Amino acid sequence: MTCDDEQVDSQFLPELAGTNEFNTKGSPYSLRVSGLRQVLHDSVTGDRFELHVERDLIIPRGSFVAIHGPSGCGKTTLLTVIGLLRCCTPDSELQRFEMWFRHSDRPLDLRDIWKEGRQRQAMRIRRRHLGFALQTGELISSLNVAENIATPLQINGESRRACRNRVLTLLDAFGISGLENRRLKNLSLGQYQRVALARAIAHDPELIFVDEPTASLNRETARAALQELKVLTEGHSTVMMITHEEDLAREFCDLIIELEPVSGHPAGRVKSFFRNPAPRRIDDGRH
Amino acid sequence: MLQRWLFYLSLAFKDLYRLRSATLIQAMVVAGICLPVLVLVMLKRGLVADLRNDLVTSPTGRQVKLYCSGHGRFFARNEIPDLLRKLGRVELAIPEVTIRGCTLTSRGQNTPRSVGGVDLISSAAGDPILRAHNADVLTPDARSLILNRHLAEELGVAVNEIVTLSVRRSAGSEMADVTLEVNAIIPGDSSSRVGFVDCRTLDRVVTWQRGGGVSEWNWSPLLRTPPPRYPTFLVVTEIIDPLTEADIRLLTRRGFLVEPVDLAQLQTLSDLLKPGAGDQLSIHRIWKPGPRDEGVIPVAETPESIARKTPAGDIVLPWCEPVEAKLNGETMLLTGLSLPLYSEWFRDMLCREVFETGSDPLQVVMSPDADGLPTDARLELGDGSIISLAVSVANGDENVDLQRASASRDVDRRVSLPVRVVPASLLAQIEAAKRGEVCFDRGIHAFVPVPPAPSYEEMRLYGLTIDDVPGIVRRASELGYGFQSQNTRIEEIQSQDAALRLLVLIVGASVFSFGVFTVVSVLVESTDRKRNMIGILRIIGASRFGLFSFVCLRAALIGLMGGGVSVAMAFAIARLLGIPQEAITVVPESLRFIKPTASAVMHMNDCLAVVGASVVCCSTGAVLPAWRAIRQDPVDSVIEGRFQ
Repeated sequence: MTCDDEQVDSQFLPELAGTNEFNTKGSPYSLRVSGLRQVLHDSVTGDRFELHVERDLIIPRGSFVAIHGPSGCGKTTLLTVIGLLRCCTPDSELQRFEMWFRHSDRPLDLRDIWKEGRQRQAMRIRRRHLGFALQTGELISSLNVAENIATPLQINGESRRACRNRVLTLLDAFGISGLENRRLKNLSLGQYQRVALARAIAHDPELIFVDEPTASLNRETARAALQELKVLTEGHSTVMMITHEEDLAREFCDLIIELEPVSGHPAGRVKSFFRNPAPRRIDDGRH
Repeated sequence: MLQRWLFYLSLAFKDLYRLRSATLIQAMVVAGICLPVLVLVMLKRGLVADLRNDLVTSPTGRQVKLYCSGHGRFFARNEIPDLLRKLGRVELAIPEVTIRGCTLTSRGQNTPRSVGGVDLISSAAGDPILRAHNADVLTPDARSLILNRHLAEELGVAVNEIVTLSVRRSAGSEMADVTLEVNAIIPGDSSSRVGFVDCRTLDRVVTWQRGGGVSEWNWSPLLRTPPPRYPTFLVVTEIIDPLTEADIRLLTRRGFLVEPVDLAQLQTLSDLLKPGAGDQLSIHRIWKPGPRDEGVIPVAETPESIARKTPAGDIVLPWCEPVEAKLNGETMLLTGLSLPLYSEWFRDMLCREVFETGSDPLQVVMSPDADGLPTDARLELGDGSIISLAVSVANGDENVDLQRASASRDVDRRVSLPVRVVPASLLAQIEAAKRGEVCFDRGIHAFVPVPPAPSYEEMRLYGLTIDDVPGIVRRASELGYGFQSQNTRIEEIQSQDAALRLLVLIVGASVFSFGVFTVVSVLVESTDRKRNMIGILRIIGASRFGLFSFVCLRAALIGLMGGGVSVAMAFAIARLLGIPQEAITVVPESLRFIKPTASAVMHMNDCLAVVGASVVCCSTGAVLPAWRAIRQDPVDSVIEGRFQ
């Protein structure tokens, strides 16, 4: 990926907010992070890793964002921090960390949650506003397809009827209708990954974090899965996707965050944050 | 909130059910710890039950025979409830009364059949001896009888037929009969003639045999009016020959208190004297004080015997305070006056006829009224008894004087009442009846002694269980009673039970304590396998407490299943052990010794205790791994879980 594309900085926000390109619905952005230095210590090996985000990352609502970079540059670390899964460690720093939810007139400052490790508040935000699809799907093996997809809904206290209706809608949308009672061990990799994506968006979260959803899929299956995800979230939820595949990022993502390792140090940093000049629109869809 | 909790609950059930092969292994590990303990407890209970079986099924197992010997007092009927409270857990007490040599007569089809030499033994409702023969049919105060088969055959009676009991009073040849209904017939020794009767029924027979009466059966008492006992005596002398100091000392040495009394204080006596006669008399009152000056002891001495205690020419009058009573429906004041022998000089001073000591007490002096001479005098006592008194005729003029003299003194209502003279002994008996010493028997029309409460030499007691017998025996021994029971054998069994219980406790505690480590390690390993799942759930927003509950609930369910499996297996083992070797016909006889035959008693409380302990053990064993799992970083949990 080259850096001669259109660079994005803090001035990017008003530019996007003034267009109809993203459905901002009164909140101009979903996520804003800047001045982050996250230090990780491996408790077993004692290894240290640092992630630096010096730029002001402003993620508009409804955008499809790719986090791209070589292995070991901190992509997953960045995702876990902004997904409220990791909090402050010694030597870590953070200047700005905000999420701006729908129906809210101001952004929510998350620095205290990050600094003080308020697990209870973080858990509530994750439960209601965030969706996750991790690297290998990470479904619950003792539950069947429908139960896995319904898990976030049940944790949010939805009724059985609402859960069932939502699950059937998602199964249909991801093209896996009829598999609701199937055990996970009887699914193909593509079906498994689709179930994971369906679970991530089941409770209609505002921010969806997807960690290499297509790593174990062939090109066509991966493209189909991403297309379905994009159709279901376009202009509605913000998707942040880690991927190694540049062409998929170029094809589907509106914004691309590129990370690079810091030479000579166990560290990574944001190399560039730019707007994808030619993302596929949903009207190019699979149909 | 409820939906969320139902989710955690269903998650635990689904996890256990869908991964049932792993669940079953974990449950079997738990059952492997619970089962030996449960089987050990069952075998111990079976052994003790075998030892106790004879005692529990025998009617004498929980029986204690209590003897009054050694204590010095009979068991009085009215003191039995107090005694039972002292003895503790007694279900039933049956005083032992046996009436020997009585006669039973059946009506027979044509001619009555009489069988003598019958022994009637006391029993009561709930008597275990009768219950053992399914003949617990006696009811208190019902005239029911249970016969042994031999006696019933001799009498030719069946159940619900009537027989007549004839008993003889030992003091004479007096006989009394009462009809009894045969309520049951029990097997018995072919040479014995035995019947069982409610102990209260036998009490009546004994009371009658001792001279008392049984009004319910119209059995009369022996005519034995007790001698009258007087509270005071009046020593009357002529004023010219009064009591000397020596006389008074003589009386004092014999236990009497002596004090001079003014005739004005004895108004009813004064009214009976001729005018001016009182001035010629000197009167002393004598009585015997009670212990610590608590009233007066009524004395059962005759006036003559007291008169002999002084050399003076005195007359001793038994004296009771006048009694207010209804005579022929009219309230009157009864005064008692009986003169001893050799009292002619005093008799001459009286204005009317009086009685002599030793005469029939049931008399009264009456005067002719407007309709003539009354022939009947009905005296009503306070307790409702009515006594017919013989009427002696008094001189009419004298009677008028007496009435007038009474009417002139209206100091109080009592003084204004008409006065009637009765024998002093009648007033003494009325006072004795108030004290409960005598009662008036309408059958023989006489005062008779109140029979004492029934008392017994022996009693049969039954503890609530055989385990209560040692306690009853110990307390009976402390109270000084003799006893006979299966106490030694029961204590021996109890000591064996205690030793076995200790053994089971030690073995059970050891197995459980080492088992807890196994359970904890199984659950740690099981929970570690769930770390990935816990991490995923935490990432998508499950609460720590919810996940903690999920892990503990899952462990409790494993414990429940393990406990259930151990109970089911223990039940099967108990059934297998209970089958006698001879019944296993499919195995050659030479190999049957392999299977032991033993009693194993399964008790619901033991099963509940084992299942409960298993659940608690597993739940507590899951606390540490659950705590560790929910404290771990969710991302680390997921990453580590990938490699498990």
